[in-house]
Amino acid sequence: MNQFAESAAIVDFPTLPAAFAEKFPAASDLKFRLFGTEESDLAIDFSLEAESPALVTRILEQCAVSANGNDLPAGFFREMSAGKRLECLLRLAAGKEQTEFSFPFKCGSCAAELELNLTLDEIAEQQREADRSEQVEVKIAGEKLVFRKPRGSDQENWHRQIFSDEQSATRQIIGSLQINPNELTRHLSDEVLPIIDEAMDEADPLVNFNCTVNCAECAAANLFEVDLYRFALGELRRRQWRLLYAAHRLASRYHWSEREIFAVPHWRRRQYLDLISDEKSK
Amino acid sequence: MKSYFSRLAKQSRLRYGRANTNSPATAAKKAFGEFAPLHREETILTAPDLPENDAPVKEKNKLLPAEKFSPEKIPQNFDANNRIVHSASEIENEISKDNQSNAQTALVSDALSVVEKIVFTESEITGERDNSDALLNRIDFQSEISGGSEVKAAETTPRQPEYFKKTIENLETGTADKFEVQKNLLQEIYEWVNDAPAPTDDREQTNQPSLKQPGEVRAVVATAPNEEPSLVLRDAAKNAMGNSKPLEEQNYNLSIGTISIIVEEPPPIQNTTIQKTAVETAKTTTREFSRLSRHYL
Repeated sequence: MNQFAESAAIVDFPTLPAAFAEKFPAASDLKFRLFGTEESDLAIDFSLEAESPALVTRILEQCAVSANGNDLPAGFFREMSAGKRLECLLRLAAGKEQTEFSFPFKCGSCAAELELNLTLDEIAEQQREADRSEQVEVKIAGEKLVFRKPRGSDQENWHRQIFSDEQSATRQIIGSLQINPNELTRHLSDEVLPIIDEAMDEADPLVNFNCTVNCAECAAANLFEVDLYRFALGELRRRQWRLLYAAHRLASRYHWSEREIFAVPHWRRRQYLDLISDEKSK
Repeated sequence: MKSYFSRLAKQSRLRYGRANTNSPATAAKKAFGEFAPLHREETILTAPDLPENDAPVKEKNKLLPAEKFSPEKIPQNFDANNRIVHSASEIENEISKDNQSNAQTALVSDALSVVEKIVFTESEITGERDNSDALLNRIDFQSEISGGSEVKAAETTPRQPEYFKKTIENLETGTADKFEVQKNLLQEIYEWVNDAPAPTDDREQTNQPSLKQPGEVRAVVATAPNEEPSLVLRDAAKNAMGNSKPLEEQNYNLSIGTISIIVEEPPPIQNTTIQKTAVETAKTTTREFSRLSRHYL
């Protein structure tokens, strides 16, 4: 019972790209425990000021568990691509019970209310497809520019810097991602930037997720785009709030301290909460 | 439509602005100028040397009694009562400056609250070897903690003649008869009584250096400004200030710091009270109230 209940708070880890799995063989048995089940989840600050790539790394690290009790390899999530990290975040945001996300929006033509349902499998499939290629090649003026995909460590480094404006930041990001820097990328023209942008978008689809949705009412094509990163963090924040509320209910009913509450396993806390709910409904 | 890099920048929470001007640290520098480095107060706890260097101290103690307490080496700092006075130059100067006025006593007693003095009696030094070793440890330790303040060995008096030697010898050998033993014993008691020190100030008779002279007053001064004195001998200071009372007893006073006594004014008498009550109140309030009250049985 206990083991079964404990495993109820565990979800599968996304499939790792082959090269990445080879680099971190100790991570082959990784799983995710659900976010919003342990006391450490309450320590995550989701405020806008605290939000950073390092925060994402922290969330992922504290939710990763090894089935064999191995330690998490150093720099595992920092070396992971931004797209894969996003998939991991969405995996945690979905939890055990949720298998798809719903994104309501209005048709740009007839204002009909539409809803895009995106399943975890669809997201994973997109990322799996993207993981097949590690590098992005762009041909500009007969020259081949090779870029790698951004990683968590790149994002953390960029976050520490202060850029003069977005254009300058884009140039610096492109420069840091280029594998074969040359004279062309040192002086990127404004016309070249969209070409590189488009190629990266295609190769790393979850970062700037977008798709075309045809309206069921007017059949107009709507370009739908969503920031999955913000969406995932919002979901995790809600899970944190639910955990806090559960602790509050248990403390109010049984007068336990926070430490005592979290000494009780997640599955048994839920049982206590069910009992409290039953008492109230009677 | 958002571009890939702008979304990536947003997800990476990039910060924009001039690096030299917009960072919080730079803004603070502009507003307030250069910050002084943060003051860090550090408290370093150090264990006394004695337990740490147990073996070396023991070795040192083996050598010290012979070296430091030979009469040639300690000629000056014994007072009339055969006490060694360890002192520092600070208290000496303090005393010599104010030696003229009657306020000296008060000044010195004030100074005593911040100055540490140690006086050891002869019995501590000329007693058993272990005792003198322990004493040396204390002297050395005091010297170390006082940060180089001088610890002077004083002149020592010659050892007292051994009394009842003959009686003991007779008893041990058993050669003398009872009458002879009694006779020797009485004789030696007589000698012992005659050799007892006179109850007057020995300093004048024996020409021992007196503590009256400020140049000879020494005190071990705690060099650290915040160190509280732990051992104060007030008699030494009194002698230094010209007090003719001999130092007859070993008097260690352990200072526990300052005691603040708050004297409260009597409560104001209300105008509406009748005159009699006011008079009574005035009578009773002539005493000063004190929060510090102690009762001794």
